[in-house]
Amino acid sequence: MRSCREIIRIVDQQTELSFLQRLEVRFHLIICRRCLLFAKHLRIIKKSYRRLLNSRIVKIEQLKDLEQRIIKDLKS
Amino acid sequence: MSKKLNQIPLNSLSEAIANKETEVIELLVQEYTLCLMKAGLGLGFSVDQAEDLVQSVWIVFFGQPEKFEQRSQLKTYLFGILYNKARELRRANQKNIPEDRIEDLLNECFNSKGHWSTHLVSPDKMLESVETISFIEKCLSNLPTSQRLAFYLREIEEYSSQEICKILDVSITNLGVLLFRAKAGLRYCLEFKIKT
Repeated sequence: MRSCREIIRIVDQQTELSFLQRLEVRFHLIICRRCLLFAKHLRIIKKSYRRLLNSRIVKIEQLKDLEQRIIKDLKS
Repeated sequence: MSKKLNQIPLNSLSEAIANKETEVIELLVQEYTLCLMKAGLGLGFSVDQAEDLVQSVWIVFFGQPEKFEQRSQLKTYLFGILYNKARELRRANQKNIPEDRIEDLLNECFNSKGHWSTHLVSPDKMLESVETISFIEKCLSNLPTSQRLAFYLREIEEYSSQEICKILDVSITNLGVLLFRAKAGLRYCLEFKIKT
């Protein structure tokens, strides 16, 4: 059986694990509250990171302006 | 990808890039500037810094034209240039680049049997920390560029491991380590910020 130290290294890579490994992670998370918290933290961070980036998306006019500057620069 | 760009045969596209043909410059810049800009912001750069970064990526791109065998390689090639430029920019901007200590810090979280020896904050606390813009920006900027870009390409561009490995020029095993350290590093930093 893997320890917590080992579980946290694979807890977020479920798609790359074998069926048995996935089962082991799931079982571990049922009995271990702190590893479950760790996994939850990662989910929260990834979700918020995506949301943060989407809210910072550059304005269209600003982007067009940047593109024009770059094009002008490259042509000269 | 824009229709016009798609209609240019690949071999003449490489040639047009080498010759800096006006039409190709415009098509490419209009096609890929947004995704480069997004990546710059995703790495934690300010809007001004990200704009400079993107500009320098294009200068390098047209300065050393490359032959492309597939159109999909264009974007990954651009991300490869962005990676190198982002590392340069970080070295220039950050006088004291923090050492990557996440493995040591993690070791301190476990006892000799590999069980947790520290407490973790509640999900609510973590959410509060990650939604504090200054926290997440600071924690992102602490990560090495390779970890940040690996995390960005996986989470936002949803690239496969093979594609990310090509961009960062690392092995699959190495990428696994980078992604783990990025996530564990962010988590540790955000938890530390909210605890103190």
